[in-house]
Amino acid sequence: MTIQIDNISKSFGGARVLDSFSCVIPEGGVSCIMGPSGCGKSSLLNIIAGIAKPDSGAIGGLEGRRLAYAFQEPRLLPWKSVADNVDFVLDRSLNADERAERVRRSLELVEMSASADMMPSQLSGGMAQRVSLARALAADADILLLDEPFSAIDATLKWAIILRLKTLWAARGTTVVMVTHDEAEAAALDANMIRIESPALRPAGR
Amino acid sequence: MKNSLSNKKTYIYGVSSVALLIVLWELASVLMGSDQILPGPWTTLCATLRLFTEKGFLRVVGSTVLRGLAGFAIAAASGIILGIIGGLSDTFHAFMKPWIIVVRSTPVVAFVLLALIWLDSDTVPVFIGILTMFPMVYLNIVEGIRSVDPKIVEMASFYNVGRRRLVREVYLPSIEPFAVSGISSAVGIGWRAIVVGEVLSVPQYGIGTVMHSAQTFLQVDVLIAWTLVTILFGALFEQLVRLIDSGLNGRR
Repeated sequence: MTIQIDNISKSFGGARVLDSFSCVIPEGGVSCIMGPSGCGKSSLLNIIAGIAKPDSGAIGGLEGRRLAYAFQEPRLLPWKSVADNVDFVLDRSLNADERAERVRRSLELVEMSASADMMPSQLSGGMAQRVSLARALAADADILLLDEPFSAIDATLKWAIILRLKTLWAARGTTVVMVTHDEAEAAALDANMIRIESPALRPAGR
Repeated sequence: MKNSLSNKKTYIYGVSSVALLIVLWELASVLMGSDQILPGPWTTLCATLRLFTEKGFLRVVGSTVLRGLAGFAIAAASGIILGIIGGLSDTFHAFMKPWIIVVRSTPVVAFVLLALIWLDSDTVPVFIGILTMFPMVYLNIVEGIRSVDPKIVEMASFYNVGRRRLVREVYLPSIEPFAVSGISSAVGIGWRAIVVGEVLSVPQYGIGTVMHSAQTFLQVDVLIAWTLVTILFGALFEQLVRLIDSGLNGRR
């Protein structure tokens, strides 16, 4: 099922970040949301995630779908280890062994297995971002929302992770909606491009 | 520079500072020329050790400790519960704040004098303990709740983390350091306030009561000895709070 974004508007304190924005996000595969800073990319992800409500407009195609979200900031719990941070979001209907197995697999995907017992305060920015990504991957969602998930990861590691995830997502048929500034990332993922124009370039009075 | 002294040097300076204090004390005592006015360190130490062997010692200390525990239990329970409400609701905190400010800026002695009119001598120190401890616990809990990162709460509710896990795994660990520092300083200050309350209300048994009578009968060595006992127990209680906290941490 495709996700239909229909005429969505959103303002923050008088500044309109999304202005009657519409697009269609196809089922399966990666869609990259691109555009200049402040054009509402993260707001669009928050609206799809249900964290923010649009001022007007509607979204279709999310009914009964499981969502996971790697936020722009890692949002790790400082008092939990890397593995426990990933485990934190897992459905408690799974038993402890199943959850541990999922945590192990998703840390492996982002090459953080060796740091499973570390605390967030011991991690670099890039490592924290990989944990946050692993947490979203572990949730085993139909739709994966990623907000600049690779921005702090160094290049060699980043491409290795991207290629690994591309294969995994293709095999599972996961729908990935990703905000990025990097055209090369979008190209490597064969992404469908969704562009949001800068608020300044939009015709006034719309 | 901060913390530039080595541990060994800090230790040496600390010991020499205490030694100097004892020498000055001895000198002052010799100059006064009377154990009745200022007994020397040795006389005082003997008086202190004698206290521990006295028959009524446990009853005196036990009465004050019981008052401390009663005051602490009431102050901690109400401070934690109201603090959680105040941390979550700005309206409630705005309502509570003037009360807290009034209680905190009123001298302890004023409360004791009023309480002496309203309450019996056994209850006055407990009441004073509650009044000094409650604001510290309340304010620290409010601050702790406000320190919870709303972005982490948002992440948790996005992933449908249940309310009970949210409280146990997000709220409690955030509040804990504030609660521990609030409770341990409340215990230290509350303990001293309770002794002040006892000195003025003179219940049948209590550290404050024996300090009061030592002062009346000019037993300065006994007065200082009980002061040392008060300091010792205050420090013990503060340590106990920290021990309990690290015990709880070890179990998690």
